[in-house]
Amino acid sequence: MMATLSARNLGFSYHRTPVISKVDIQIEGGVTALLGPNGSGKTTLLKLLLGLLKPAHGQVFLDGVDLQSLGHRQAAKRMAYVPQVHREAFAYQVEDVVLMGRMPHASFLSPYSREDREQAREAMERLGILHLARRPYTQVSGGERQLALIARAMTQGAQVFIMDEPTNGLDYGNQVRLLERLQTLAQGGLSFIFSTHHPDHALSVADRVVMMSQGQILRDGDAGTIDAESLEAIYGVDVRLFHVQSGIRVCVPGLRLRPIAC
Amino acid sequence: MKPIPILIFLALLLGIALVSLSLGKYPLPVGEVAAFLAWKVTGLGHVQPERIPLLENIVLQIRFPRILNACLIGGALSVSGASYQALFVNPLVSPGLLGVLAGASFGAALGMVFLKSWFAVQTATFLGGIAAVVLALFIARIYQVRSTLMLVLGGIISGAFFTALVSIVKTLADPYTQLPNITFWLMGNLTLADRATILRMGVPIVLGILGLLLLSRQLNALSMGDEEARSLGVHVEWIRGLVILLATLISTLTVVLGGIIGWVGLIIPHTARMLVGPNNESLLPVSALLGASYLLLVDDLSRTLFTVEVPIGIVTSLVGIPFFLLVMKNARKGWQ
Repeated sequence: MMATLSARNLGFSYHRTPVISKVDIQIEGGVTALLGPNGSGKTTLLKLLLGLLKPAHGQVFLDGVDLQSLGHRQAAKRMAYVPQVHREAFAYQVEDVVLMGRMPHASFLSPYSREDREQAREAMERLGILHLARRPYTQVSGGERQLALIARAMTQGAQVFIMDEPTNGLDYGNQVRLLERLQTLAQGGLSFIFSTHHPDHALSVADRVVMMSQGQILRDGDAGTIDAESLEAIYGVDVRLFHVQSGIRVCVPGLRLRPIAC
Repeated sequence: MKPIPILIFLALLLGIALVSLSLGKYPLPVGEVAAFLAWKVTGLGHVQPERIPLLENIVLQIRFPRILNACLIGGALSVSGASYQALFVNPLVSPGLLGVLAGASFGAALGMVFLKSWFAVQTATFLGGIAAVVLALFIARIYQVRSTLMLVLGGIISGAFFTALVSIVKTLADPYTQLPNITFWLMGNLTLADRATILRMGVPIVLGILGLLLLSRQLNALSMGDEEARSLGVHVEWIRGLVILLATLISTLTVVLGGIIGWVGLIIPHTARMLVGPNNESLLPVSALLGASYLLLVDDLSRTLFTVEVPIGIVTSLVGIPFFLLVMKNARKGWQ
């Protein structure tokens, strides 16, 4: 069953300064990319969708139920947060981190069951990091760490994955591998929404692109409908889009110093 | 939870306890003590009948309460230190972080000067510790920012405040009778608690330790950051409050039992983390067992090293520092 995450007339203020206003969004399957300049409210929107922030206006619904009345534990069984960078924490083993995904399922007092551990191993296997299970989480590469966090989200049993700049801090190869992974998992019926500073990431894997500016959604539509004008509108720089083979488009900044030979 | 390391450390603790029971001014053969205990518990085995009253007196009446005392204090300080380190994701944190030890010292000093009964002094000690943490939480609350940094700051302020109050009480105390008592108390001392007190404090300490062990999974999640923990379905505020409550409770009770015993709550969690890794599901029980073992060993030293007993707080520091330097070489292992 595909979970639906939606928000209606969402608004949020920080110290009386509105950060998000009048946002309507619905996530149901596929990969959604969230684009927008710094301070446009991307992270705030993701946190509102996760229920980490309480909206000042409007509501967030997970499968039709208001998030505020659903409770963290119930929400965590269907929706997962894949955070971007990790503050220096303890050197837990990768397996321990993935196993944390069973938190909303395990009862308070009993230890993790064999089934919990089995689910964690399955998720690691699916993401190809089973060989890292016993390695310290803090000593694997950034890309592997991100995969461990995705494995944890899968272990949670989540249908909707909310990712805040997942490619941040990864090298080019790991960025591409991560995006490929998202695409594969989305084809398997999971929903992803991720924020990014790279329009190319949106163009290459997203089914849908949401563009934000000053706390509002400027544009929400099929990834194919992105044009240079809308990117220029949100970032305020010259942008050119080029078709490369098989319908893939790339975004190139229209730097004035060096003309682009194309 | 991985049961094997926990069993190893339990065996270590029991071994050290057995040796400790045979050590003292009147040394007993370890074998005899073991046979006596086995006979006492199961009724089997052989003990020389004419030795029974002696063993009964030395082992059970005199040494056992003290050994229990050392175990309770060592275990409680280590578990509360480990829990705080996980909660604040900070390796420099020890049980005294939120001012609990300073507050308890003030309560004890005040009690020794102004209160008559020993029980009243113990109550004052306990309440002092709680008061200091309440003050720390209140200070953190003033700023409306729910961050662990504010909590730490609140703890530092509260600790400084109660340390100043201790000094005031010291100047008011009678320099010939009360001041030495207060000073010895602040050095840490396992001789002060009687059997009844040890048993009375033992129950809440053990319950507190067990409570923290049950929260180990939640602590794991909390150490990844508040938002992440919440997204994993953890009720962050509740769990944090509960951990602070239990850790405060058991560390205040250790002051009631033995005064201020430093270093244990800082070095034992590090050592345990180096041995079994940072996962609190194993770390907390191993810290408890290792802390109990460590304080027992240190107490054995302080009982037997000199003809005059050295206050244990001094020995924990003197032994703790080189021990910590040794551990520090590898102590970062669990952190990065």
